[in-house]
Amino acid sequence: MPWRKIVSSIKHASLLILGAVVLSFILFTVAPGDPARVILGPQASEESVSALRQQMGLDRPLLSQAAKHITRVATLNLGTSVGNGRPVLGQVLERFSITATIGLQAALLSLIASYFLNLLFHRFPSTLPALGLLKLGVLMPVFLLTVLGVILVGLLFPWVSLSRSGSAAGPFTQLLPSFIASLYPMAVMTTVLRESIASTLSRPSYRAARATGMGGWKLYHRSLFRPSVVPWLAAWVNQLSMVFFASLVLEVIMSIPGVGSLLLTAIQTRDYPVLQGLILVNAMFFILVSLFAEWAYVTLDPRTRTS
Amino acid sequence: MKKALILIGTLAVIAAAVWFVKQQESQQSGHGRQNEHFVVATETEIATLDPIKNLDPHIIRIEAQIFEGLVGLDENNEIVPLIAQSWEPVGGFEKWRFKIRQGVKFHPSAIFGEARTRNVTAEDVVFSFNRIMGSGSSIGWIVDGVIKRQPDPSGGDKAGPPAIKAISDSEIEIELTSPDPFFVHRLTSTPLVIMPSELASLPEGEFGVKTTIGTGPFSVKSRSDAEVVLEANPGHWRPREGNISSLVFRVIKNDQIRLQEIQNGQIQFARVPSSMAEGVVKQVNGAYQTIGASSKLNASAVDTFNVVVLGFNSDKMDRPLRQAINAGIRRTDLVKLIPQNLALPASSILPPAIPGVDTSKTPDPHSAEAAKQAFAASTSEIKNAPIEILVHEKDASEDLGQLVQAQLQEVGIVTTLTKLDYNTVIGRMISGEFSTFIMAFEFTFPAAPSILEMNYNPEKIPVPNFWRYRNDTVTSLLKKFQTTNDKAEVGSLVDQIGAATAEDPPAAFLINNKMLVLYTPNVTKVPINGQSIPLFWKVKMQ
Repeated sequence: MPWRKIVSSIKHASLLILGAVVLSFILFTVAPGDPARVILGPQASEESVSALRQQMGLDRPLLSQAAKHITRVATLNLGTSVGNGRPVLGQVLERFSITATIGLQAALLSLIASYFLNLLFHRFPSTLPALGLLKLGVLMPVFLLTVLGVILVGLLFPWVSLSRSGSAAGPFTQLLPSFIASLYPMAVMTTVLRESIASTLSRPSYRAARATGMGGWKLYHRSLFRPSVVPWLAAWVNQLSMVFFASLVLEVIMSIPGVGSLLLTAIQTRDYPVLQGLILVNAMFFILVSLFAEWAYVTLDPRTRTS
Repeated sequence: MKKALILIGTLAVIAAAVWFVKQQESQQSGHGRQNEHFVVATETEIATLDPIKNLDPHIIRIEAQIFEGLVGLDENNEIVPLIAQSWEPVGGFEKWRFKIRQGVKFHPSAIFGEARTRNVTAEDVVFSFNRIMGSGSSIGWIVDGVIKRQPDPSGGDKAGPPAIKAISDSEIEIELTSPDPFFVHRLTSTPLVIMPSELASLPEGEFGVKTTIGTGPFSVKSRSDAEVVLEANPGHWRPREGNISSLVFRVIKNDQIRLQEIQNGQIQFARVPSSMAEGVVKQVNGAYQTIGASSKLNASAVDTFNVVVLGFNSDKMDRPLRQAINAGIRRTDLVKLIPQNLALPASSILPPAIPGVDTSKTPDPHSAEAAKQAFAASTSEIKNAPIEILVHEKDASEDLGQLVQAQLQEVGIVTTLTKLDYNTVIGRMISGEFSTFIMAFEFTFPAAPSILEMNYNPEKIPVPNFWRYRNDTVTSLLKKFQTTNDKAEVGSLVDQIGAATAEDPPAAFLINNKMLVLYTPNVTKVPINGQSIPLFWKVKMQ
C-alpha cells in the first residue's frame, strides 16, 4: 500500500472518529436521564444532585461541554468513570484486551477448523452431509448460534465450568468462549471454501492435473485448495466483525468482563466518560480492521489492484 | 495422506486432552476444591469495592463481608454492636454518643507502614462519615438530612462536613438535625462502614480497586471485575463461629448458568430469582425443598425489607381516585405471579420482616364495590383518560403492571402501561411527570418510624416522598416519633398512621418478595438478615 494511500486512509479514519465522538455527545445530551442522579441514587436529595451536576460540569452550556469533551478525547484524557471512579482509558483497554483475545482466538479457530473440515470432506466424501448442518449454521443469526453454543456446551459437558472464563487469567483461559464465538464464522468459511473447491472440480485445470497422475494430498493442495485461497481468506476478513459481535454476546451470557458487558453497564448507568472511551476505542479498532481488510484484498487478489 | 491425517487427528486429540486437564487443574487449584473454598455466585460486575461508590445490592453483599459499621443486624434483624461497643443518647435524642470497641484492627496493608495494621480510632469514624456524606458519595442519602452538617468551611453556601466529633480516642458524638430515637437503627445500614483515615492519601479511584481495607471477618486477597477472593481475617475481634477460610464471589449474570453451575457443583451458594423457582423448589409445610436437578442442594427463603408499590401522584390524583385504585387491586392474585409463595400480599409500606411490624393490623383493602364507588366520586381530571402506569425492566414491574391493569379494568378504571428504563422512571418520579409508577423499595434499616417519616413527611417531597404525599394527621403523628422510643407508644403511632394512610393512600402496596437461595449440602444453613446480607462468617463447611 503506497504511503499516499495510508495517509489518505488515516485522514479518512480521523474524520470518522471525530464524527463518532460528536454524534455520541449529541446522543448522550438528548437522551433522558441525569448522570448525577444515577450516581447518587434515587433517594439522594435534590441539593446533593445539583451540587454534583455542578461539579461534573453538566450545568454548563452545551457548546462549552462539547468543546471540553472533544479536547479531552483529542488528548486521550478520557477522565474517570462516574460510576466507579476508575480511569476510563485503563478500564476500557483492560476490557478490550479480553474481547480481542476471544475474537482473535475465535478467528484463528474458525480458519483452522474450516481448512480441516474441507480436507475431511474431500478425503471422506461420506462425511459431506455434515455440510448441511454447517449451512444451517450460516442461516442462523450469529447471536442465536452463540446462545445455542453455550447451552449445548453446558448440556454435553457438565464438568466444564461456564462461569470460569470471566474470572480466569491467562492466554488460553478464554478457549471455551473463543470456540463458541468461532462457530458462526467456522460455518461460513467452511461453506465458502467447500463451494469454491466444488466449482474448481469442474475446471479443466483440475482435470488436467488429475490426468498427469497427481493424486491425494498433492492434488488437493495444488489444484483445489490453492485456487480457493483468495475467496476463503476474503470471507475470513469479512467475518472479523462478526467474531467481534459474537464475543460481545458471549460476554453478556458468560459474564466475561469484556467490552460488551462494560458497554451495557455504561449505558444503564449513564456513565458517559466510559461510553465515550468505548466508542473511541471501538471506532479505532473497526477502522484498523477495515484498513487491514482493504490491504488484504489487494494483496491476495491482484485483480483488485488499481493503477 | 492417510498418515498425515492420522497424525493431525492424534495431535488434535492430545491437544483437546491437555486443554481439558488444564481446565480441571485450574478449577481444582483455583476455587472449586471443596472444604477450602466457598464459591458464591454474584450477579453484577465488581468494578469497585469502595462502599461510597456502590448502590448495587449484589456488591453491597460482598462489602458486608469485608467492612463493618458501628452497628449491624443479625439474622433475626436485631441490632448488634460491631465497631461501637455501646451507645447512648445525650439529652433528648438529638445527640448520640458512641464508644469505640478497643482492639478492632484494620486488615493488614502497606498503607499502615511497617506495622501493617493498627486499631480503629474515633478519628477513623469521623473520617468515614466525612467520606460517606461527601460530594459524589452514592450512600450519603442514608444519613443526609439526619446528621447535622457544620457550616461550609470556605464560608460559602455549600454543604459542610457532618457534625461528628471525636471526644476522645475511643468516643465520638454525632449531632442530628432533629431528635431521633431510632438513629441507631439507621446506622445498621450496611454501606455505613468504617474506613481507615489513611485512605485520604491514596490516588483517586484506588480504594476498592487495588486497595481495600476494612475490619470485617474477611479480607480481600484479590479482586477483578469478574471475581473477588476473600480470606478469613485471623485478627478479627470476634470469636470465629464458622470455618470458611476462603470466600470467593464469582460474577455469573445469567440466571440459567448460575443454576446450572450450582447443580454441577462448580459453586456453593447462589440466589435464585423467583421467576426460576418453579422446577427448583417446592414449599412443604412452610419450608422449601429442592426438587429435580437441584434435589441434592439445600434451599431457604428469607423475608427481606422490601415492598413493591404502585405509587400515586397525589398532586394529580384526588383521594377518591387513589382509594379506588387501591381497592381495585387483588393482592392475592398478584402474588400468584411469583411461584411457591415467594411473595406475600402487602398492604402497608412496612415489610413484615421489620421487628415489631404486625401486618394483620393492615388488612387487604380490596373491594370491587368500594373501588367503583370511589372512582365515581373522584373529580380528578386524569380519570377521564387512561391513567398511565410507569413500569421498567426490574423487579417483575411489567408483569405486575399488566395484572394490575387487568384488575383495574374489571372495576371500570382504564389504564395504560408505559415501559421505560429504570433510571428514566426514577427521573420522572422525581420531576413529578407521572400519574402512577411501579417500583420496588428496598429499605436499608429496620425502623418503622424512620421509614414512615422518610416517605410521608411533606418536607421530603420529591425525594424520598415520591408520591408528593401531604396529610396533616399523618404529619402530626410523625412528629411524635421524635420524643419516644417506648415500644407500646411507637406501636400505637405506627397503627394510627397505618389507619390514616389506608383512608388516604399515597400508594397501593402490592407485594413483599422473599429472597430464595440455594447452597450445597456440605455447609450449615447460611444465616441471612432482612437486608439480604448472608452472614458467611457463621457458616461451617464439612
